[in-house]
Amino acid sequence: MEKLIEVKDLSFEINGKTIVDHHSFTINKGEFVSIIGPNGAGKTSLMRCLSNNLRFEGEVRLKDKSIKDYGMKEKARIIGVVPQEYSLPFNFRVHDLVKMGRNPYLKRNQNLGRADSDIIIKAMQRTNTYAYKNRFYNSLSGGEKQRVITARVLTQEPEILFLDEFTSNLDIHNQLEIIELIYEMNRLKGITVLSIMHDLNMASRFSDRILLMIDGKIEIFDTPENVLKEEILSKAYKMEMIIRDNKVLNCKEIVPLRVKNDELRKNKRIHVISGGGTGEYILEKLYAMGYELSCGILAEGDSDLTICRSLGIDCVYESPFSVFGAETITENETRIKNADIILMTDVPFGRNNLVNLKSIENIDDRKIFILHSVNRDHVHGEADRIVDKMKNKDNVIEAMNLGELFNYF
Amino acid sequence: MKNKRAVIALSFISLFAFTVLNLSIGAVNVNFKDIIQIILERLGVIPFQNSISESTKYIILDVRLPRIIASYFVGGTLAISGVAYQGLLKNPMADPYILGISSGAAFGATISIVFFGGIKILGIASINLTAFIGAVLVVFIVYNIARIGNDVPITTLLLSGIAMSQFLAALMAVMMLMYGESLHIIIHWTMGSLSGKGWDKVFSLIPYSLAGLAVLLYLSRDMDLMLLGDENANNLGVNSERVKKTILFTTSIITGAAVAISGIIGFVGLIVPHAVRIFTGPRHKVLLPVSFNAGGILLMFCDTLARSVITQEIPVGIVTAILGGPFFLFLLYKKKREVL
Repeated sequence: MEKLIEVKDLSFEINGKTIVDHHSFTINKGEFVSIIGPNGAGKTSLMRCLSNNLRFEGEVRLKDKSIKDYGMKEKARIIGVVPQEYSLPFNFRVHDLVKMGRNPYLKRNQNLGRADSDIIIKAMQRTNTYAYKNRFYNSLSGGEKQRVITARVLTQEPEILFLDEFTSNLDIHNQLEIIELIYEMNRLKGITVLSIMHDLNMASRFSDRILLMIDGKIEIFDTPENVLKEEILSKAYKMEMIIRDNKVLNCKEIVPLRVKNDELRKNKRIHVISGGGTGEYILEKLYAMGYELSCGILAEGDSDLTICRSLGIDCVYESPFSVFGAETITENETRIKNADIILMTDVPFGRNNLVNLKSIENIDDRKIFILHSVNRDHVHGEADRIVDKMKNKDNVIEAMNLGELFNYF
Repeated sequence: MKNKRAVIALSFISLFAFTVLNLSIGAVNVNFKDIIQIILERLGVIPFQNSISESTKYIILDVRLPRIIASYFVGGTLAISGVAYQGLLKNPMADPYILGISSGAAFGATISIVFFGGIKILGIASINLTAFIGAVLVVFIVYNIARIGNDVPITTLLLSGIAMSQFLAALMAVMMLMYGESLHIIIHWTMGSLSGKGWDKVFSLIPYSLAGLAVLLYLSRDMDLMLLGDENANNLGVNSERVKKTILFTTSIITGAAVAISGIIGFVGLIVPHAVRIFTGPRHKVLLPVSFNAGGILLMFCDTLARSVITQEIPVGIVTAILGGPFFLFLLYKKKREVL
């Protein structure tokens, strides 16, 4: 692979504090690289070094020539920077602004030629800005402004695009539209992309490689599969999250849960009987409230199990499509015995998990909460019969919906 | 684009018309035909005209014409300096005096008025010389206070300019208290006047003024790009720190030269750029020449009023403020969305 940017032994400081300390990495031609990391990690500063807008030590080589040896215009013909949307002190018309992208190709006082005009028109058509080329830039909406800025950078015909959180002010439609456009330029025209992203799911979806910065250090620079891991990201962002496979987009999906709070009280122990994803919300919420939890028996592959694992919930499970073994059942019953409260979700019961219901059928010394379900029985009425019998007992409370259920907690 | 050419053409036609009109106005009435004949005769286009008296010729050629030309170049210079500062500082409220040029010049002039009286140094009246030195020196100091390495942050630049102005104004006030006999002259100077400006003053300004316009025009596209912010301009191939320095240097010299002969004339440098921008848009290539011309014509017109409305001469700075203020407010009211 051809190296486009080569960073050797890079160090720089901000306000006297060394941020990046002797780091080296390479960005190859045609790659889509995202930089992620919490605020203040030094992402923007790193990018400013790479475009020689910030003083640094070490070496940054662009196309095998030190970035410091580039003339301003020469550099601008290779690197195009898309900043966050901004407003201007005076009112330029859209086409005047887009035209500015041709500056690196013009000598002083040289006017735009035909070829330049063609490039400008094409860039405006690509970005859907041609229709309002005569409007004032400052009167545009955020999405329109960002498209104009994107059009301008396209007229620059760069080999690499630097994007600094360029979609943070946009709604999801505009966000995706702009990123898709950039992605298209990357895949079709081979333009290399280096992008600071706050949206981890966007980074996951579009990047070839992801560079994670924490506290002024480059933590890891690798493929999305290797960077987007719970143990790495929850440390970086100091919070809890679930990372799972997004089957639709075929990439990792990050679900942020909450910022860690160890101060939460942990008083009572609840055993949750769930399955088939019915426990995802309940487990997560109870965990957030500070309860100590156990769960079981779940089948491997159940999304409830994924939640339990990422939250560290004590859980009994077994492989799917098999009848739960006696040992597993005993393990589960020990947990039920230790619980102060038992909660049953609207889990449907089939042949193998019916044992979960049977384990709690005869408990009457502790409170049992049952979430109402209309489609619980898949064992010819046996489950319904047990539940109906339980409902008549004093210690059993049925909640008609989640809202009602959480009134009790 | 056609529209912009029309604006440029129109502004230069009005320049000619206004020049002739202003030449005719004054204590002695001279008609248009005579004025044109006098000028053409001087230029050698037509032979000697004995139908016009020598004194009329003297009034037109050596009293009114140099003063009118001086007012045109002072106005034009202040206007393009205003354009440059507003662009450079990305601040619509900036004017040529915002970095303390005016107080530097006024302080320099005050020193000259108090200590040197009417002495001439190298053939130049000391008051003009010290005013010029004061103006340029202040920008130099302010710039170096604000500078961090190679960068000049705009906010620090503005703040140190304002602080410097206040400080010099205070020093001037002290001198005015201590040398009460010069009070009248100092105040009159600070209000700005073009009265009695002869050809020597005109020729001491024109080279600076034209060179300044040329330099700024040369940098016009860079100035457009710098409105996007320094770093954005850098990323589009502009060496913004160097451009910033060049512009500061150029504008302080030309503003200093203008202020040195005219005193402090306010409003032209603030209002003309805004008014012109409404018609031409913010692109400097058009904005600069049209502003130069509009500023020149405005000051020429105001100066004619200053010397002819009442028998006593009014300082032209007062006229520009009295006329310019309401005119600008009117524009602002009519077209507020397009001004900023």
